[in-house]
Amino acid sequence: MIQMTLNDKEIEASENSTILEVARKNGIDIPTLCYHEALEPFGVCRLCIVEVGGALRKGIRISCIQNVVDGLIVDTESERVKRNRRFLFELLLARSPDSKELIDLAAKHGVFESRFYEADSDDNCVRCGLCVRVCRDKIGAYALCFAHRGYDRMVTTDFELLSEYCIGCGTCAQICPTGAIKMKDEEGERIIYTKSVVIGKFELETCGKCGMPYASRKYLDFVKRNSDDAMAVSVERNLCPTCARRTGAINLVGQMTL
Amino acid sequence: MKIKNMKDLDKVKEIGMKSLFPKGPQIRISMSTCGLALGADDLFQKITREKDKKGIKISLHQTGCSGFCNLEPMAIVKLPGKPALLYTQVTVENVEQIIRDIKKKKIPQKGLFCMIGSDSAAAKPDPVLNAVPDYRDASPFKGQHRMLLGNCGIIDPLSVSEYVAMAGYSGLFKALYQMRPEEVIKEVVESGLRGRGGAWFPTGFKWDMASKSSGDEKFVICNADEGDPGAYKDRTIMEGNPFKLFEGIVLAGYAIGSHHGIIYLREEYHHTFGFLSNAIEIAKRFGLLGKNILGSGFNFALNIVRGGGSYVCGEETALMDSLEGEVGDPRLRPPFPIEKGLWARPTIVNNVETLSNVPLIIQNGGKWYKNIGTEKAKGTKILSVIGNVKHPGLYEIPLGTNLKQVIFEMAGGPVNGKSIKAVQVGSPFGTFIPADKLNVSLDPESLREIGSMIGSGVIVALDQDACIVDILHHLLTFFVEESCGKCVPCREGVSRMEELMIEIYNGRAGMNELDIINELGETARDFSLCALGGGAPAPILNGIKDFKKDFEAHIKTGKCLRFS
Repeated sequence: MIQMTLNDKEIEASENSTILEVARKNGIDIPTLCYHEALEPFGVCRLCIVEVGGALRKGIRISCIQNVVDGLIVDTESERVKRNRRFLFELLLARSPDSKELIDLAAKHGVFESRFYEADSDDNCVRCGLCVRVCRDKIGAYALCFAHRGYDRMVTTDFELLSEYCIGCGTCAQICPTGAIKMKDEEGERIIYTKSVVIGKFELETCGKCGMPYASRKYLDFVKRNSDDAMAVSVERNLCPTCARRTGAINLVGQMTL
Repeated sequence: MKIKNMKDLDKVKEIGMKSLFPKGPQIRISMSTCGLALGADDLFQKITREKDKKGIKISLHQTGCSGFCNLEPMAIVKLPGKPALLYTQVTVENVEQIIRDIKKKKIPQKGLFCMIGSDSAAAKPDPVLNAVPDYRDASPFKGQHRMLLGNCGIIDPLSVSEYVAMAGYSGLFKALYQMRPEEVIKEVVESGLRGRGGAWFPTGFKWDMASKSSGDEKFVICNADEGDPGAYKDRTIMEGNPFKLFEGIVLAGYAIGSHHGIIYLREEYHHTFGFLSNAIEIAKRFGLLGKNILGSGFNFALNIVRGGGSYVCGEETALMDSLEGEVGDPRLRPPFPIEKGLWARPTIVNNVETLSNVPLIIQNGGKWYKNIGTEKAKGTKILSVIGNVKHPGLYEIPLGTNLKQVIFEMAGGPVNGKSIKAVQVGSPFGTFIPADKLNVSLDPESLREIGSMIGSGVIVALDQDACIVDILHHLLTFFVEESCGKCVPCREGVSRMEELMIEIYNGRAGMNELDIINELGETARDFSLCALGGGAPAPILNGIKDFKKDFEAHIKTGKCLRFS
C-alpha cells in the first residue's frame, strides 16, 4: 500500500493501480469513453486527464495510464483540468450531437452545449476503439478495424464490406459507449451495423426446445471451441440460454431427488 | 572481395585513392534524385558518347548531391596536375566544349564555380584558376562545417573504396577490434551527441538503456521517414554517402548488442530505395554487412522497409506499428521502445543524421566531437534553408551559429531587394521568429528560450510579401491531413482550428474565433497523445501573438496581404 493525496484527501491505495482505478474506488467520478476494465488502456479520449504533483513532476497526466506512486498528489477537478475537459466535451459533442449517452456524460460534467459547428448528426461514434479492441483482444475475431486518417478516421470492417470474420456475438454493440454500433434480431436474423457499414448479418439458430432464434452458428462454434465442457454441452444440444438454464436446473433437481 | 583485416582495408583504401586522384582526366556527375530530375542522366550518356567519339580516355563517375539542388546538374572535372573543379548547371549543350577543352588539356570555362582541394594547385599555378575561389570561400559553401556532407557530391556513393579512402570504416574497424560495446557507448555519451530527428534526446543515454534491457533480439531502426516539409538532408546523406550511414547503424548494433537493423524509408523516395538496396548488396559483398563483418565475427543484417506515405509514421512508435504491418498510429508510452519496441523487443530508433555522426565520433573520439557546438548541444546540424532566400539548400553548421548569419550571409538574404519578414525555424512545428529577433543562436536551448525549436533543421524564410494567416492556414491543412486521428485533441481540435482559420482567412470571423483558436491550441498542445498534436499549435499560437497585423487585415477586410 502507498500513501497519496486525492482531491485534498489523504488516502491509501494499492500499488500497481492507476489513478483512475484509485479514484473510482474512492467514489470520485472521472469521465472516460475509451476505458474499460477488461481491456488494456488506450488513452485516446483524453477525458480522464488529471493534474498531478508531489512525487511526480507537476503537470497533466492521463489517469487511465498513469500508475499511482507513494506521495502522489492528484487533483481531478482543478481549474486547468475542468477548462480543458470542457473543450474536449465540446469537440466531441460537435461531432456527435445526437448521442444520448454522450450528452448525458457531458451534462454530468457541466457541459451542455458546444461552441463549434455541428457535424452531420447521425455520427455517434467517438472513435474510442473499444469495439475494435474487444473484438481483437478478447474475442479474437478481428472483424473490426479503424480506417482512414485524421478527421476521417472511422470504425469499419475490412474493405468496408460485410465482415467474413464477424461471428455475430454482439460484444461491440454491447461495449460501445455512445450507441454507435447497433444490433438487431428480427425474424430469425441478426444484423450488426454502424452508420455506414453492416458488420455482420446472420441467420440465427433456433433453440431445440422452445424454438426461439438465439445465436449465430459461428458464435456457437466459437463458444464450443473456447469454453469448458458444461457450456459446450448446452451448445451441443442446441439450447437457448433460458432453456439451457432450465434444463440444467431440472437435471440438478432430478439428481437430488434420486 | 571481403575485407577481413587491416591489410585488406589498406588495399581497398589504395584502390580508392587511385580512383579519387587518377592519373588521367576524370569527370564526376552528380546523379542523385535532384540531379536526375534536372537531366544528369542525359548528361552522363552524352559525355560517354562524346568521349568515345573523340577517342580520349576519361574516367567517368557518378556522385551524390552536395545539398544545393538548384545548382544541379553539377559536375566535377579533374585534369591531371590541376585541382578538381566544380561546375554547376551543366547542360548537354556544354558537353562538346568540355570534352574538346579536356582533349586540349585546357580548363573548361562555362559554369565553372569553384575548386575543390586547392592544395595541389600551388604546384602549378594557372592564370585561369587565380580568379576561381576555393570551395571553402565560395558562397553557399562558405562558412559551413561539412563533417557529414563533406563527402556528398564528391565521392562516388556506391564505391566502398572511395569511402574507405576518405577514412571510412576506420571507426567501425576500431570499434570491432579494439573496443567493447560499453566503450562504444561511453564514447558516444562523452561526445554529447543528441538525436537529430527533432527531439534532441541524448543518443548515448538511449543506447545505454537499450543495451541494459534484455530481449532475445534487439533492433536498430534508422528513421529515414523524412517527412518535414522542406527537409531533404537525410536523402542527401543516403544518396551521397550511404556507407557512412551503414557504418553508423552497424556501430549502433554492436553497441547495444543487436544483430538486426532496419531502415524505414520514406515512401516518396523511390530513387533512394533502389539506390540503397544496391548499396546494401555492395556492402555485403565487401563484408561490411551480413555475417562476420570486417572479419571480426560480428554479424549484422540490414533491411530496408518502405513506409506507406504517412507523415506521422516518422514518430518512432507509429513507425514501429507500421513496420509490424499495422496502421501507423502512435503508441502510448510507457513502455518505451528501449524496453518494448518493435515486436515487443528492445529497440532504438535513430535518425539518419544522428547515425551518420557516430562513425566520426568513434574514429576521432568523443572528446574531439565535444569541441564542436555549444555547451549543451554538440556537433553540427544540417539545416535545410528554404523559402525566399538567394541560395536555398543544405547548410551544415556547428550548433550555436547565429540565425542571422545563416540567413543573410550564408544563404544570401532575401531575393529582389525585398526584406525578410519572419523566419520559421524547425518547420513545421517551430515558431515564426520576426525579423527583428533573428539574432539568435541556433541550438535547441537558445531556441526553446524564445519559444521556438530547431526540430529537424528546416528553416523557412519569408519575405515582406508573405502573409502569416496564409501560411498558418497551409500549415493547419497539413496537420489535419497528417493527423492519424487516434486521440481527440488532435483529431477534433486541430481540424476545428483549421475550420476557424479558414473563416478568418476569408474574413468571415472575428477576434472571438481567434480566442477560440488560441484556447483550442492550448488544449491540443497539452493533451495530445504524440508530438504531432502536441507540436502543431506552437506556430499557430505564436503566429497569432506576433503577427496581429496580418490577422487584423484578414478579419477587417477579408483580404490577404499576399495579394494586396
